[in-house]
This record gives sequence, C-alpha cells and structure tokens, in this order.
Amino acid sequence: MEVWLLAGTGTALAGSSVGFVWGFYEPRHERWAAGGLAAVWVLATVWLTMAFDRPEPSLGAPAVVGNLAVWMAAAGSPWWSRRPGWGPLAGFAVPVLTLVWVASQLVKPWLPAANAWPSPWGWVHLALLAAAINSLLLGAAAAGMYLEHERELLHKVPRVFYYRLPPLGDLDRWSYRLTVWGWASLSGAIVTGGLLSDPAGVYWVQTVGGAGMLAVWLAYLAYGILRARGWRGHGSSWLTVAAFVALAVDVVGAGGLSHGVAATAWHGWLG
Amino acid sequence: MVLGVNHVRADVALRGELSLDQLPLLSALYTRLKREAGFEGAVVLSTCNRTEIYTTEALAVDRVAALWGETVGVRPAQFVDAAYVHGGDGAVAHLFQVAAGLDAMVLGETEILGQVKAAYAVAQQQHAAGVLHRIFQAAFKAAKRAHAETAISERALSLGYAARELATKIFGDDLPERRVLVVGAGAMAAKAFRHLQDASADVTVVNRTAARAEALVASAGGRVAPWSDLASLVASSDVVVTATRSPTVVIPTKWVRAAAPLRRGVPWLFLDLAVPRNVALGVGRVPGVLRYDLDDLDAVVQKNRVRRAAEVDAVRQILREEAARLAREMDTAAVGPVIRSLREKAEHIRSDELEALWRRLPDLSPTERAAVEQTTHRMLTKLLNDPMTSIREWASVPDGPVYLDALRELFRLDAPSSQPQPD
Repeated sequence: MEVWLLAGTGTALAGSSVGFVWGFYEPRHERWAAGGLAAVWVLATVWLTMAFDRPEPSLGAPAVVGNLAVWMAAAGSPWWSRRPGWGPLAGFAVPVLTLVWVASQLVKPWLPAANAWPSPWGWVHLALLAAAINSLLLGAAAAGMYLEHERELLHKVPRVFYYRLPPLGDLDRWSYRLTVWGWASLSGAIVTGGLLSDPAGVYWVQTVGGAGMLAVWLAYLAYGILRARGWRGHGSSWLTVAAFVALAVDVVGAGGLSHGVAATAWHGWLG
Repeated sequence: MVLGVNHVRADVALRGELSLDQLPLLSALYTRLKREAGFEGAVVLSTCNRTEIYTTEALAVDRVAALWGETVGVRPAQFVDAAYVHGGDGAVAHLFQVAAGLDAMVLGETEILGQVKAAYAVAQQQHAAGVLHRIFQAAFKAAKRAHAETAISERALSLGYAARELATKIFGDDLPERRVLVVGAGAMAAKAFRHLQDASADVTVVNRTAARAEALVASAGGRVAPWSDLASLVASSDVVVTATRSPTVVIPTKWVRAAAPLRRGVPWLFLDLAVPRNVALGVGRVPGVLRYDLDDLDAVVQKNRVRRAAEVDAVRQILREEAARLAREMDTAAVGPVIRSLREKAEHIRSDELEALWRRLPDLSPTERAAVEQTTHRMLTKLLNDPMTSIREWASVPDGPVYLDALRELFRLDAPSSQPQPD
C-alpha cells in the first residue's frame, strides 16, 4: 500500500512539475498541473495518516518532512495558483520540490519518525521544518526567476520568461518575504529540535547536520540584515538561491546520510 | 447589417469627410434613420479609423448610404467603392472583430472597445439602438473574453508604450514610488512622458530650453528641473529616458559608474530614444544597469507584434463561440413568446370553460371542484407537452421561423416581438 501511495505521489508530482513548466509556454496547462497537486494532496494525506497511526515505523523523519512539505504545498495550491504570477513561480518551485521529495524518500532513515509521535515537539518540529523548506524553496524560486528575468532583460532578446515572469521588483519582494517567513519557521524548527534533544542531554550543534543547519540559519540571518540595510536585486537573489541549496544539502545530505540532529536526540533518549 | 469605411479601404481625407464623430451630425443621422419605414434599430460607430452604421436588413443598403451621405454632405457615389457591407452573421462577426480589436490599425488595441461602448451609449441616448441591444451586449462580452483569455492586447506595439512596459517589467508595482527622469521635450520625449505619467510614475522633465519642458509638464503634471542639475538627477533616478537632439552623448559612463554602487543592487534603467545616442554605450556595461536604445526597443516591439499575431486564432475561436451562443439565445428568444402565448391561450380557454361549468353546476363541493380543476389541468398539460417540445426544437432548425409563423397563424396567436426593445 505504501509503495503504491509513494509511486502515485511521485507520479503526480512529476506530472505537475511538467505541467507547470509547460505552463511557461501554454498557461492553460497550469490547470491540470494544479489538478496534479490536488492528487498529491490526497495521496500525501493518506500517507501521513498511515504514518501517524503506525506503531512501529520503518520510515524516517526525512520521508515525513518530505511528505509534509508536498502536503502543505498542495494544500495551499487552490489559494496560490489563483494569484497572478504564481503559475510561473510554481514552474520554478514544483520541480525542485519534487526533487527534494524524491531525495527525502531515498535517504537513510535517521529518525524513526513515528516513534517521536508521543512527543508533540516531534510533530511541531517536523511541521515547522516542512513549512520552512516550502517557504525557503519558494523564496529561492522567486530569486531564481529574478535572475533569469534579469538575464533576459540584459540580453534584450524577449523570450518566454520576458513575457511570463512577473516584474523584477515584484520577484525581489516575494523572494524577501518568503525567505523571511521561511527563516522564522526554520528558527522555530531549530528551537523545537533543541527541545527534542534536551532530554538526551546533547547539543544539536554537535552533529554534522546540526552544525550545517546553524550555518544555514546564520546565512539567512545575514541575508535579512543586508536586506534591512537596503541591499536588493542581483546579489540578494544569488544569496537566497545559495542558502536554499545549502539547506537542501544539509537536510537530505548531511542530516540524512550521517546521524543528524534528531537522530542524536532520539538515540540519546533511548539511553 | 453594417455599412462602413475603415483605415484599410479609405484614406484619411475620405474618412474625415465621412466622419460622424460630432454629436449634431450623429443626432441628425439617427433622426433620419428613425424616420425610415421598417426601422428597427441602429448604432453608429465613428472613430479616426472607421465610421460604420449598424442597422437591420429591414433598411436597404442604398437608402442607408444615401442618408449617411445626406448627413455629411457627400454623395454616395463618392464613397461607395471604399465602403463595405456585411449582412446577417457576417455583420455580427464583423462587429465582434471590431470590438475585440482584430480589425483595428493596432492589432488587439483595447481603446476600440471603449469607443464601441460609447457609440452604443449614444445610440441608446438617441433611443435608436432598438433590436441591436442583444447583439452589442454580446459583442462587449466577446471582446472582454478575448482580452481576458488571450494575450492579444498585452504587449506594447509603440516605442513610447514599450518604454513604459519595460519600466513596469523591472519595477512592477513599485513604479509609482520610483523616480523617473525624462531628458528632452520633443515629440518622442513627450510620448514617453505621457505613458510614464499614465503609469503613475513620479516624472521629472529636464530640457536645455526650460520653457519647452514646462509646456510639456503643464499639459499632464510632473516637475521640471534645470539642465545644470542633470548629473545629480540621473544619479537619483531609477528610470532615465533620453530623447534630445544633442549630437553628442548627454549621459557619460562615468556618471553612471560613480553612482551605481549607491543603488545597492536596485536595477537602473536607461531608455535612449534619441538618434544619435544620448546615453554612452559604456553605460550598458555597468553592473546592474539596463540600457535600451531605439533598436533594442524596436526589437521588443517587433517580437510583441509577432506574439500578438499568434493570438489571433485563439481570439477568433472565442468570437465564434460567442457568436454561436448569441445565435442560440436569439433563436430561443424567438420561440419563447410563442410558447407563452400558446400556453396562455389554452389556459384562458380552460378557465373560461370552468367558470361556465361552475355556473351550470353550483352544487359541486369544493373537493369535486378541485378534482375537476386538476383533471382539466392535467389534460391541458399532456395535450400541450408534445407541441411545446417541438416548438423548442424549432429554435435550432433552419426552417424554425417558418414553422413558428405557421403556428401563430394556425392558432391565431398574438405573440409579442421576440426582440427586446430597451429604448
């Protein structure tokens, strides 16, 4: 059953990604791409419900975070897909979200997620992390759109992005707002992760994943400070994209392949 | 039916002679048309690119042309070769195309839709629109759909508008908060100035001859600054439009290079609409600076034109759908009064007969009366059921109007006109 659910989610996400990318050229395809996200929402809901009920989980936290992330993105799609300019944003973000989701299903399970269910902090931690990933992903996608749109404007040859992407000023503003939301969620995820670690008497930064997360958090903090001092545009967009890549590497790379923050906390709990 | 001349068939002089854009002339023509026997409605559309008279085929084309010529003082023989006539579905299709901007000089322009609406409003004021009401409402709806569902009107096709479009593509909703500097006060500068003013931008004009800049600003608002402040104005502006006749560069690279770091990554747009160039070529190589000259803007306009043309098929499809919907509605509207009339006549007969029956049988109890009423009602409904179905089907068959006329004759129905008469 789980295999079929995951296969269905992956197929729907891939189809939706293709639809949104195709939407750059034919906006009407965004409709069935949004339909694909609706299917993702149904499948992810069933998967998460099953994960919640399972007494002895075999899947790890990355899988839960990945499914929570796509569930949140899909749940919000009826709202955001109607906003002007968000179709192209989905064209940038949904394919990356799909890759993040695939990676989250493949990496080593470093936290028996369902074992954390008795702890409300476990749920809050994972939900905040999923929200942070979504928001920071969208912020990075808007920044990527900014860079692509700027490139076309500099080359003075109008192609598809010249016509389909929102203005540079709007993209810069979206990127900033989404990144700030994502940074706030990430801060919350780190704090709740620390609360998970606390009973074990360990400090989350002692792990590779934890240290990487702190570095990412500081990078976003630096970004916020620079923005507050009036920094905009090209450089700001590159930093947003780079910080998200670092986050993705940390979450599914360092955190997933080595023993990450949550794994340390859990093993400490077990004593 | 439509009789008209447009920018394709008639030159400016003839279009000017035949123009009906003055209210007294328009009023005179409407008065003449309304006096004609068989007049059912008319709308006159007169813009700088076209003058068209929409009416019904109840009036002969020659007669409409004669009245038009009589109104503007031109003999029909002088314009008959340049004029075109469309009848029936062709006239409806033509109106839809005009309203959607497919027949406009600038493909897909939206201004014409406003002009068609204004023309219809005048016809209503003159109590002349008559049976054309439904057709014009359908044309407005079709044009709105065309503009909303396709990109036929989305991209700039003039250099002045392209300048504004480019500024909007960079600053988006922030444009009204950005500083715009227009250098020059000639025709090209004036066009760019007006387009940017329309976008609610904060525009300052600077010109060597301050009086010309003040004249430009006086007509549309904005500020004038002295030529001596040009360097500092450039440094503090987000969009700089140049269109002077200066034979040398007006904005050197060193000004821009010195000010660029202070912008902290905010894009800086230079639109050089002058020949020879007013903005040094090196400006475009400064990081964060977008420099567009006339050739660059023209390339954008050409690309826009191609993309608009690519939308024409989609617009035509929408217009066909709306025309088909209109035809169905009008057919349905034609059978509605007949159905109503037939039902009313039958019901009238039933109620008369029941009244006579109550008088003959005064001792019937209320229960018995109700039973008789229900029985006669059911008989009537069953009897009329098949004819009603057939009549509804006639709405979509070619001979439907003939059958309806036969039915009216057969039952001596006094059906009202199928068309609404809002005026």
